[in-house]
Amino acid sequence: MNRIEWYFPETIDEAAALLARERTVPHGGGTGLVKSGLSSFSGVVDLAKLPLNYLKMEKGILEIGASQTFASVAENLSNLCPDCILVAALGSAASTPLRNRITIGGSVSFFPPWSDLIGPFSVLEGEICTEGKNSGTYDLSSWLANRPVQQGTLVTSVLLPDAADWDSCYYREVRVGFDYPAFTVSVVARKNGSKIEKVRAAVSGGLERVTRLSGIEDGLNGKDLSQLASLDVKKMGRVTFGRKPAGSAEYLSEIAAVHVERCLKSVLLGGGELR
Amino acid sequence: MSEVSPAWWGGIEMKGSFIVNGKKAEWSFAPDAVLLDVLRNNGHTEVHRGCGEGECGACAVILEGRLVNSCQVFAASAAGQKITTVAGIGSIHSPHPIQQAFVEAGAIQCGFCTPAMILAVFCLLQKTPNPTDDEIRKALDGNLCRCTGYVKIFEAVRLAARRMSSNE
Repeated sequence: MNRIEWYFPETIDEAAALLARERTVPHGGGTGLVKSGLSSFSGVVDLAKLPLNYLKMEKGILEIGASQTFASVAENLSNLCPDCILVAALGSAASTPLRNRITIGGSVSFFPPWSDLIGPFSVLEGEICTEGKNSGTYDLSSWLANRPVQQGTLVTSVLLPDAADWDSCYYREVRVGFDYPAFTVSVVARKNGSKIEKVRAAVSGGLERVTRLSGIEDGLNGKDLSQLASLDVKKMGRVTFGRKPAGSAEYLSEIAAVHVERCLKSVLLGGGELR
Repeated sequence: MSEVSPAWWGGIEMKGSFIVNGKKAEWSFAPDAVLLDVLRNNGHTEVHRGCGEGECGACAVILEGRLVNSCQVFAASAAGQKITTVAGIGSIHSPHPIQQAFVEAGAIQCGFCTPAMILAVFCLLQKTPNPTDDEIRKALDGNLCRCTGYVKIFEAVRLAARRMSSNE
């Protein structure tokens, strides 16, 4: 019978040393390990005693400790930065009891296809800070492209260097309120009068874990708002999906493009779309 | 917290202490046991097993002040923490105002979802004493009821909120 040891380190160095062992996995309190089970592991490192449960904003840079839950982030940010897209995204993910357990660190480690974090993380150009075997700071692309970097490594925090002062729109495609989204749309923008200073848009849940809509971004950045009407957003906002219970690949691609257009209009031309 | 010792079935078990409804308890459990199983195996059958997947909410308890699905919490990670079940907020002889409101509003049919639903309402009203319908909907979004259609549950929540606000 597989013997499983639980460890409760109180320092990050202690946790990192434990995670360097074979078949030893971190647990921040979320549901990923409960779902996958512990049968393939011999050690579990509980992160509850580590100093990773914090959220701070200094000079516009948002740093979120890995043990912050989705609920805590949504609550804390709704006071600190109520318009931040993360408030809408994390505040609507899963359900109340699950939001009280899903952690930022766990979510970053798994980034499942239904993630409500990955889209906002992409448009806010977040970075992942780690300690241990592969300690360092990783942008999203390099983190997703290099899964082995996560082994034996402890996610300690995420950094969002430019999280404030955006107009934002977040949409999740669900059939009922408590559902795994088939895809999400994240749009953030800054305007100066009728000029679009910057816009970022991403769709998650496609065959690529998350897709930045660079064609739309390049077509709108630095341009006048009137430029939105001349862009074929539905064509440029298309992302490739696989078939899901929510619909065929073609259907999801079509619907996602519709919601990209709606989110852009909401953010750039006023009004709001939140679901 | 943990002592590792062989269990009777030849496996390895660990021990931990839990504070359930204000009382400390020392229990043995398998390292991969979830809190739901440990609670029920030790007499807390008021915590119900529904789906076992964190989707129905019937197993919800309050862990360190936060509503959680106990089927999605490893017992080992909850050791040493405060756990509240529905038995911890009221009894048949001294019901909590929320429990009383559920009875009076007719918000209970089979009763299977009720313990966890009441805990969800308890958490809501602690934070938001006069919730809007949208706030109620969001707070209960992880508690499924197949019987009532939720209308009377909402009425019970409003009734409880009124009474608790006015200390009726």
